Amino acid sequence: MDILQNLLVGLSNLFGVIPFFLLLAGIFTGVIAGALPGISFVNAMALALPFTYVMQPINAMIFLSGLYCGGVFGGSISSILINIPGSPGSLPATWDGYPMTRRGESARALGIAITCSAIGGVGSALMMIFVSPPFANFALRFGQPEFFAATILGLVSVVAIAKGNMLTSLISLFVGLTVGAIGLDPLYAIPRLTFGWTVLDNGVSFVVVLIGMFAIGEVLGWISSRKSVSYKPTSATKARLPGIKELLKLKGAIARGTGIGCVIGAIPGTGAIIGAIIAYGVEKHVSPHGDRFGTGVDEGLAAPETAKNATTGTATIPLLTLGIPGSAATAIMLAALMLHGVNPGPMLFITGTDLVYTVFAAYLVANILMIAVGMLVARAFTLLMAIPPAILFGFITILCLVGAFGVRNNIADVYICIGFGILGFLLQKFNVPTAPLILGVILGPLAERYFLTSMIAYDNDFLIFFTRPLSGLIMFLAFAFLIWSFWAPIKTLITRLRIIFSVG
Amino acid sequence: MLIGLIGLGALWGVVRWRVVSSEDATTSDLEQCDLVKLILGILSVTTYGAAITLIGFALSTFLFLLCWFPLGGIRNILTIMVNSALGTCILLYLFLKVAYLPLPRGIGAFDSLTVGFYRILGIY
Repeated sequence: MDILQNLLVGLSNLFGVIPFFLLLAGIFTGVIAGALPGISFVNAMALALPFTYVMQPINAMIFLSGLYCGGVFGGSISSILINIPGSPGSLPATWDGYPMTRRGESARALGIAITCSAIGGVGSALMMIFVSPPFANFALRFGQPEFFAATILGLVSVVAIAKGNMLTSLISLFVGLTVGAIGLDPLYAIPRLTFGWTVLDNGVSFVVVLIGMFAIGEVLGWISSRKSVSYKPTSATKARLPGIKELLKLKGAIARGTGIGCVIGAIPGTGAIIGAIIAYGVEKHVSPHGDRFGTGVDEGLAAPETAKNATTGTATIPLLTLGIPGSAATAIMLAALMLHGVNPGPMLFITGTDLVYTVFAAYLVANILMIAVGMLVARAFTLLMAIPPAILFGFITILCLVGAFGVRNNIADVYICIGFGILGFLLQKFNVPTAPLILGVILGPLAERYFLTSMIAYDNDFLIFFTRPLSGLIMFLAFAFLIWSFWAPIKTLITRLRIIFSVG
Repeated sequence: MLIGLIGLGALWGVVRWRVVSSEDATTSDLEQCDLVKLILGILSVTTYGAAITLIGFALSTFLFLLCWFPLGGIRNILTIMVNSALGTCILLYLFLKVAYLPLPRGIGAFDSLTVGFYRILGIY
């Protein structure tokens, strides 16, 4: 009952003039940014961050929530119409969405994508609303050792899902941890890795790293590309929403997509892309039309689209309840909260109930309003694609540098942003994933702080992380994740050793 | 962390060297870049970043866009001039009037020039 009452308060906060306008503006910005290839919704969130400085914390979170929910969907518009995913999570939409466009069924494809995304998003928002408060209650029992264990789990799970990119993901993570260590030591205030530059004494802001790596890196990638691509939709861009009968035919795909997306979204280090791909793979095996996937099958589009937006709500649970972001998008939300002096964590559910439940309401309403916004943006897609990339990327560069400057009103952050932009570009070219780096920059200092405070509180007893039941359980999960991620090479090694010894 | 980074980096270097030495090696993504445009792009962004404090945000943004658009392939002079001027004005309103960001005004004469320009635009 408390949850419902608080949710009603959140909804009443949301339906003020300015908050509702900001929610709509956020959804529009997110869908447009997601729809435009080359600018992902994460870039858009990073670019929008400076504009949230002057907002109230609640309004800033409403805006970013709308941007997040809209942005995760937006990439599907370009995936379906021009076979280019506007954001990574929309990649599976090209596999069955674009073939539908080639058959002249773009309106139906867009309608399925929009509706399924909305259903997945609403499901995830409901999960977030009803799971977060009891989990936050449970998290009140967390001490510093438990928070340390949770950050370790976050770091390990980033590596665990790297699979084929294990080595490069580890390198990226270690670079991020090293960058996160720059600045004054939290215990002794001794400068680390500052090379005598006092501007680095306060460390490197992860917001600046985010903006540089995602946005400037993308800009440099575009300017140096030898290919000039013309993006022109081949057919009409009007969406037709599916009827009840059509939706009932897709109920299995939608239910599975929602479940998979909700579970995947809650795991730190994952995101919409993982949820969408797993949902597509599962649906291919389960669906009676699985053998025709890739030719324009409704279930092949519905499942990943549902899963994609189903990651949004549950991805926000660790952010709000533990203060630990699990993805770049929630990291930006963390930045916005911290810039406004709000500390996410279990206490937020006691001291900031208004904020929390307004965010819940924003997610719920955003996923519903996304239907109308998605249809409008799809209609205007041809117009959007007519903007010359040079103009778009020129203004994106300016927004990036101003955003970096605005974090601490320090011009040094602009140079750091450019530096990380070049690094982001190089990492992309060498196929090194950038998400582990970002999470390393964020989670590294957090892990260090929790570790140091645990050591101070428990007389330098290292075993405290394993002897406390909750902390021990989380560390066991982290260890299990680690073994699972290295299982393939371990198994190969065991097989080779068996062959060697059996031959010998 | 540094030791781990150096170790992993060395391992990655060895793996890359083995891939490049093998017959299956393909052209790396970096080799497929237009390096001249890349260097010019990096130089223009870096120069813009450095110029913001020296000559002020307004002038540096206008000059940056004037250089960036031709680099990006736009050749029409009218398009370049109009987009640079209009874009600079819109961004100034957005950052100064909406976001209240205290953007650098430049030093010496550029400070006076920027303030004069803000007064013409109605920002100050």
